[in-house]
Amino acid sequence: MRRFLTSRVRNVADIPDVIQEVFLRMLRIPNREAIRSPEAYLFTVALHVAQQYAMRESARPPSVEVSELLTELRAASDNDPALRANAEQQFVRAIESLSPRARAVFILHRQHGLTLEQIGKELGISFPMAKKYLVQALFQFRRQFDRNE
Amino acid sequence: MQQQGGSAYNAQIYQEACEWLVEFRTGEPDEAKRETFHAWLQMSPLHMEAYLDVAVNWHSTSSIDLTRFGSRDELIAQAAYDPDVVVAHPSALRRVAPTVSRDVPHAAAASGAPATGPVAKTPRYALAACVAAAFLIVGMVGVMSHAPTYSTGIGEQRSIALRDGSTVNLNSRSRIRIDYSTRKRGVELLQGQALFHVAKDAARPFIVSAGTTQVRAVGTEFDVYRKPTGTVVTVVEGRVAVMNGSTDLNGTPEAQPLSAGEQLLVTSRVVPHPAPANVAAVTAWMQRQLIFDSTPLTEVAGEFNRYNERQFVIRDPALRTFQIDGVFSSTDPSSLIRFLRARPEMQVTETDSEIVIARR
Repeated sequence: MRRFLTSRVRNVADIPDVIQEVFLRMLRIPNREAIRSPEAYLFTVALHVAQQYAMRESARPPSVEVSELLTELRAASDNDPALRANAEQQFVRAIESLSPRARAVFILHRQHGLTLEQIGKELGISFPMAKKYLVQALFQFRRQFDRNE
Repeated sequence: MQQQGGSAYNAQIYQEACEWLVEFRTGEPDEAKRETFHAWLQMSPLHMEAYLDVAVNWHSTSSIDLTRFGSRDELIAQAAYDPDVVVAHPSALRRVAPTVSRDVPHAAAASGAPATGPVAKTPRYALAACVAAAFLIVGMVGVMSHAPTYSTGIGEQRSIALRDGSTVNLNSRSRIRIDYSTRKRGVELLQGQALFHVAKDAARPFIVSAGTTQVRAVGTEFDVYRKPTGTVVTVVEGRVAVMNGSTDLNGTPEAQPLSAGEQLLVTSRVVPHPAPANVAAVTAWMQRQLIFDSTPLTEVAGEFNRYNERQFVIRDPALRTFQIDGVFSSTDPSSLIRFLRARPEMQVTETDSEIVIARR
């Protein structure tokens, strides 16, 4: 989130305000609507608020497609080549430090596009376990960034 | 480059964010799940921030070339020689929940060890890896020998990721103590209720003790509730063995096997028999719900009192057996109050600290 916001919001001191604002707006969304696609709502609101803070033209209607929103989110961290190279290095280190199983689950899913069911069969582990390894990998990224902050 | 305050993240919240993201990326959560997620997001800006962070990380990795980690078959082969014990440490261990010091020196030193190099091409290497892993765990257990305790207050719930990949969801007003060793994974339920999702590790059984009752599992999911009248064990998935220390006359407690969908009420005297369980009702607390099916009012009141500061008091003994059906929000007694008020024979009086139910 912060990585995403730093490249969008000019003044770093604004970030806590942005987060607070996103949160407040999330609270105002009628539950019925938000529950249909809570993820998309979160991403839309986050982008929208960030754009307003960045004083960019906020005329563009926010999309509700999660995939598009994610592309937007990623585009933010891809803007600065140095930032991007550093991030990539951190990701690779985090993946290196995973157990062979967690690593296999993560890469087979992200790079080779296998579903968790397929991965479970290949590795002889249950679906919930495969899921757990994926969670473990994601968690490891945060740890990696945390260590280098 | 990353911001100040970035390291002040809460490991538990972040863990939950990771779980939610995986939930959304690997399946299509149904409405109930989406609702729970939405409620989770609305609980705190920290939740929201953690989720966005995880989403960005997840998406960022799609542009990284991961072929350096080997081909599909190589990855599978490496994973095949990755016994559970190896999985149980360094990466997993470092995400021990917040109350434990985050930077265990041994764990940091060990981080590269089992993961580097072409891992275990033959069983002999696998064995060596196991032995190495055992040493690492012994070392780490030494460092973290203080048994961590986790507790929740009224209306609070928390989920704790244990270092072996198992998770404990702690219900309102509950307390557990973690006691892991190289031989067993021990958890003591000191008070209240917890749902255990146990990672498979045949070498180290997972043992939950609640008073004199012990529940033993290898890899499964089950709920243990310490009630004043006894301990209720409900199995969601897999099988467990339940033992009651106090029925042990000649040193070998009799183990009662319990399968998925079954429930056992263990009291100090009675030798229990498994009964079919309404698993959804037993684990509804995870969704902050209470499900009652012809449940006496006294028990209903007791359940609400676990989650709310304002306590239900039944003035008239005759009303105790009045039966309640339905699904309620555990932290919001108002719908129950409305329901009771609609009954002609009941009178409900609310004060700041009590909700008194009497006969009209």
